[in-house]
Amino acid sequence: MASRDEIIEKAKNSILEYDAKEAENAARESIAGGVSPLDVIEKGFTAAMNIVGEQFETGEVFLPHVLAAAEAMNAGIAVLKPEMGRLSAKMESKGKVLIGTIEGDIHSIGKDIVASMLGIGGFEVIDLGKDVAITKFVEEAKAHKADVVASSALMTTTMICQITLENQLKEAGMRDKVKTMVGGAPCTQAWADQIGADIYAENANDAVVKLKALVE
Amino acid sequence: MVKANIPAGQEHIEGLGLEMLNNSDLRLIHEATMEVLENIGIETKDPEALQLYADAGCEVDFEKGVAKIPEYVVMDAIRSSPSRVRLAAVDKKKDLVLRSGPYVNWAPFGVGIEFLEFDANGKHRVRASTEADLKKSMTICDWCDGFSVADPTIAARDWTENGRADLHEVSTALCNTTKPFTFGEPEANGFEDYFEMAKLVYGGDEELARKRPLVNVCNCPTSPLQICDNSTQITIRAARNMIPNVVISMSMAGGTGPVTPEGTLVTQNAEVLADIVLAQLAEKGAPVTYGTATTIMDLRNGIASGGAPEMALFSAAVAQVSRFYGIPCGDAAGCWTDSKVPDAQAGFEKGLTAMVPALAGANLIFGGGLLEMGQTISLEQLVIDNDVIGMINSMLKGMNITDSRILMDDIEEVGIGGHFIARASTRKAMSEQSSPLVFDRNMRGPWEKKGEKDAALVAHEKVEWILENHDPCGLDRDVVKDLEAFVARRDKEFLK
Repeated sequence: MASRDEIIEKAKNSILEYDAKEAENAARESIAGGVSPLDVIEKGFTAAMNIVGEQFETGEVFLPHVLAAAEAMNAGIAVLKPEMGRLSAKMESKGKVLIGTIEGDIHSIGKDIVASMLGIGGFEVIDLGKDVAITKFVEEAKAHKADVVASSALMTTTMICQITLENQLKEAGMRDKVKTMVGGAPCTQAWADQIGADIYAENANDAVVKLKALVE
Repeated sequence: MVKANIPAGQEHIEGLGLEMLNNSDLRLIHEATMEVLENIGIETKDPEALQLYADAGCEVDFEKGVAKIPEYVVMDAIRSSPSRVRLAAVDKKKDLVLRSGPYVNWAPFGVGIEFLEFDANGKHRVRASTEADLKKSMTICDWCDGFSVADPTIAARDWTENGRADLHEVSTALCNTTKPFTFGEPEANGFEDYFEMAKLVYGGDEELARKRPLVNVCNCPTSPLQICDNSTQITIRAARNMIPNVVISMSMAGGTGPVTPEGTLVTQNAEVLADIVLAQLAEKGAPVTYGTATTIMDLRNGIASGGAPEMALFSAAVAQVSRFYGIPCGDAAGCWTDSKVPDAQAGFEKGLTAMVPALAGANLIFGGGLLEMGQTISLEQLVIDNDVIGMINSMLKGMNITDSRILMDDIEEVGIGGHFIARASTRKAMSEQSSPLVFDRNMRGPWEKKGEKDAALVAHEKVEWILENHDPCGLDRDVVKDLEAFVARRDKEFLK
């Protein structure tokens, strides 16, 4: 039986090697060995993710590496979830972000990248997917007590739905309880200002930086 | 187990290519060229060259200085010319072997005489080039991974009247790159000095200096159908010393060649082959390559155009003609422009004239850093051209349609929706992607945040970074001192 430190080391290396199977193995071993799941996450997965994040900043690795590391981390955490539920252990979060590609728009890759990067950045991300009805944004924001409602649009024809989202959040009495963030190719800071969105994010990095600034 | 679907090699070499001329085209060019060499001949005043032609069976008029070269003499010379020519480098690992197949390499231009100074607010100033400029240019070419060779791009004009400019250039080249180089303006009577300098690099080892010559040379026939004394002597001496020599015709269709590209292709072929014959008569097996800077004379203003699409066609045709003869295409003009500054005209003309000979498989395409059809050199342009080269190299790979490249496993696993960014195959193949250094691929927002810089300004910053951070010298300090002392001695003799 591997020691606690060995298991945590294994968890860390699995992320650094972008290996989802190894991340799951490390998670299973930690449960069998009675290692705290939060320790595995914090000292193993998250520690490794921070290293990958630093490598990304300095240009040593790129988006494919970061997202692969995030996928491996998510695979490991998925294994740990039932154990955390049993122990009533909760992961620390910088805040809850509800994210989706807006109604009528199916272009989701940019939104997927933003969601992954926010997850890596320590936010709890609830990804509603693509072509998300405005009513669903509002209902889910209420149900999850989201801190941020983020919507993306690739087309000028769907971008206008971001106005509807602002309005419906107001009508539901939710607008002052959440911050709104908009992004996507046609969106600009001017657009965000025009419709009254709180944050405009140019790209995934920008989204992480601006949301972190908001919570800190 | 039975092996299924074994690929039969139809086209042996993968990648994107262009064959402008078919076999009957090439035969026709060859026959017309033989007609020119046999009936009109080539003019040279060099008695040694004329004697070599005469001894080989050419009909020589010593008085007029004309040699008529029969086809069998040409064919013997082509047969004895090597299909592979090694350009030795100070760092042996960087040797470049030019092969007469469709294998593409890139060189900077040589030799310009003006230097384009760039200042950060987009203003340019042009002045006579100096040894210090050449040193910077060598450093940039040594750093840029697009260039397989680092030819000296500009003349050390501050030494033209004060010493042996040619030796200053050779010494600056030897001390500031570990890549191979061809010295663009050799003097026939400078050969002993070039050899002595190579010997100094090899710590006095004469055998090594002969076996791995470091100062490769080039020479240009004079169109139409002449070779000057300096050129014949460069060819003869290079051959006898087994020094790689590239013969570059610089014919101008409509001026020094017939107005049709087809006609000028024939006369420039006659000029280059006559020179290659001379090399093989001087020393069988001499390492020669076939070069071209042939273009059109723009008949509206009387200049030779360096950015004309016709030049791209000439270089592509020469790539094929030289391959037809089994001789490497040593220096084909490409990545050229008539523009005076790194601007839109430069970008398009360079892209065009670089891409077409590359698709035709020219073995060494030279033009990096050049502006104003070779008169002017810009360090910023060298760095920009490095990107042009990298992108064309990516394109030459073409598509390689095989089961393993289709990645069906990934397609199945990702399925509908989702993305391929986090796949192991994506990480693995990432380095295959084109990735320019100075061309900006960001959207407007990040570009604005970085200061709204155009390619020339980004290139200027890269130039400054390279000059600050890259040490191109592969020689011991003592060797550098020996070279400097040698050149200083020759300077003194020159001034006497």
